[in-house]
Amino acid sequence: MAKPTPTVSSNVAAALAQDKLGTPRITQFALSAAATLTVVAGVIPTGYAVTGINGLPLAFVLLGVVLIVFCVGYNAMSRRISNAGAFYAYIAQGLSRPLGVVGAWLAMAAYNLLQVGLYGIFGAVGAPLFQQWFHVNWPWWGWALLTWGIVAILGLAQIEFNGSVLGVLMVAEILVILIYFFAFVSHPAGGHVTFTTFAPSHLFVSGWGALLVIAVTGFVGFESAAFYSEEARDAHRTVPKATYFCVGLIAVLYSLQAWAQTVAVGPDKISSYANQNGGETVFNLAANTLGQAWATIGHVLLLTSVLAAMISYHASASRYVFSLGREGVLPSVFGRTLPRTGAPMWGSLTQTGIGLVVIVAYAIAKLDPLVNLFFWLGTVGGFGVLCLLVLTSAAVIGYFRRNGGETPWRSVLAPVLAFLALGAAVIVSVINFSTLLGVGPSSPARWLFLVGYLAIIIGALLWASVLKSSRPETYRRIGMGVGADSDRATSMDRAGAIL
Amino acid sequence: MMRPTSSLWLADEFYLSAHRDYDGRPRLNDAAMSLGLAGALLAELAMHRRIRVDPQALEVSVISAEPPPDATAHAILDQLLGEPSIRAISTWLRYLARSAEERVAERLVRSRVVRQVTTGPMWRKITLHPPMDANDAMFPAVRVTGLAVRGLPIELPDALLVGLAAATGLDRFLLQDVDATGRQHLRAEVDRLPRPLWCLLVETKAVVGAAVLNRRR
Repeated sequence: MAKPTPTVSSNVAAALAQDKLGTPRITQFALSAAATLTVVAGVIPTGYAVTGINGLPLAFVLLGVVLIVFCVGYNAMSRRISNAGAFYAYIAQGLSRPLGVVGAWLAMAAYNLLQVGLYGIFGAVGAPLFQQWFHVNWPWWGWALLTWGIVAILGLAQIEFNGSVLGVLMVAEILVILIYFFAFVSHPAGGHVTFTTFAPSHLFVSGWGALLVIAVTGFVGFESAAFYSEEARDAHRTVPKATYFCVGLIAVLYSLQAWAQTVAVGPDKISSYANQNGGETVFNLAANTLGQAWATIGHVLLLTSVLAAMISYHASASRYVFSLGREGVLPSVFGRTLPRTGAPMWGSLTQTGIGLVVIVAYAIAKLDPLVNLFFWLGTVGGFGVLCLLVLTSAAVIGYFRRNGGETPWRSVLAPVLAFLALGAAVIVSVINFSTLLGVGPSSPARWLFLVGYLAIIIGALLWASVLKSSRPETYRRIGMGVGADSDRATSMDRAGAIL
Repeated sequence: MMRPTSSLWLADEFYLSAHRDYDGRPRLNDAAMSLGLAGALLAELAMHRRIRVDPQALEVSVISAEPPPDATAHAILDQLLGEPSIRAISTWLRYLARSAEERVAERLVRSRVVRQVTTGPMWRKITLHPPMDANDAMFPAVRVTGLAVRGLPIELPDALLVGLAAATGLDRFLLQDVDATGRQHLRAEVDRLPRPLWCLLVETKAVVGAAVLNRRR
């Protein structure tokens, strides 16, 4: 599915080029999806608290290297495929249509989990803050429901944060992360800085697979750069540049921060400190080293970071559902929009509904919003993305075997390396899943999520075979997303194509 | 092809249906509106046999440079004549969408169907085009609904209007008083459109769908 571009200079081409996005903008969108401060203040400390393993800095470095290698093949394929639905389109065209459906359902599950988990951290960190600032005493789920309502309305109104506002917030977050970093390492516990947490012996301990999942959760967002290839100014260069920059920056920021937190507290005490301080870990450290003002700044930026990420993942999930509705893999009603705003109506409402059910369920069950909602769902979502990355690496290999036209490094060597490394990560994570959740090995929670994913995979494969036998034309169009309509046009598939 | 029942062009009827009859504010979001109007403008030229739609390649090409009987259609044809190397329907839809709303509003002002009104606070002035007669503005919706509900045969321009509404999401409004049977009847009529025009509508729907996936800047 190559993208035709007019090679002659023309008014039309020039006019349409004006609307295109450059590398900085695309990088900015990808980094906002990564929600850097949310990871630094939410995922990393909770990761230390729940797993008790110190090797997180090294995990980020390792995974960063693996993802750069992954991106080589990913970007090569994004140059050839035009579908803003990304992962599942690549998998459908590189591997097989049934696996494409698996990819689509996994992606929807993962992005929904990531989105809904954010309500937990907003409530957990926000509740005490708002009580302190505004003397309003709501439980965590009260604030979660408030933001849920905001996301629901913005989702239907098709409003996302203004690009420049997002840009400013993102830069501010990164600055704060760096400032905190320098503060933490200049106030080491015990008086001197140690690099021990970078030692492999701190990573390759029992349960280390959990750290890989945590690290992947931190990186989620980088893949969104490829979603903009349709709108990119010079897609062949803009998107890869944005992707590599994003992965590189994230790897550096997170590994340095994860390390700095162990320096400020002491590597042997980080886990208990994080357990005690929960969502305030990073901010208490900041208050101790920089003063309360900086902690407050961090608090505010964290809340905006979470809110921006909620909106971003809500949009991703809605648009996935919309794409699948247009393809016919989901009922066509999901491909409808709200006329006044152009929002993917049922896509948005579905995600909104899922969020409400989960928040209410967690509130009733009195589970912990930071660990059980944010961390669990966020990392389980990250695990889903890890599985998608494995499938996509295989898809890159499959696609270029069929279509050729790329260097051996991009089409074979790099994706094979990525596939092996990420595949190994999946295996180790499954083995260590109980460590990831911080539960005993015989706990039902350990199997609950894995069985859930298995059910999704089996369900998707079944659904694909149902489509193949009952609606072969729709089956053929799996992976085409909104381009499925153009295919209907050329293949004269009339029935109900328009109305 | 002017209809005996109405002297309005397809894009004009789409415009009127897509805006509120009492104050001219849009019922439809910007992206879908402008793409729908662009599709209508191309369909007008196709109906007047000035351009040909290739259903296999999803391209348009000019087959007659004879000026159409309307300044706006003429201007669009000139644009197509000026860029013979650009052929893809989707490219033309996106390009024409940039000025479609303005052009069609201007045509409606010229034919005195709407008037131009500037409103809003000093720092955020917007231009609206409320219809001179609200009944005229509602006529397309009323006409289509009547035909659908009674299961009567539908002429080409009306089938195109329904198809454009479906492609842009406007059908939620246009067909709001049509029941399931009526909708089924309309569906059959739209599916029966001549292939080139049908392809044009499907491509419009595809481009509108792609626009939904675009992020707001």
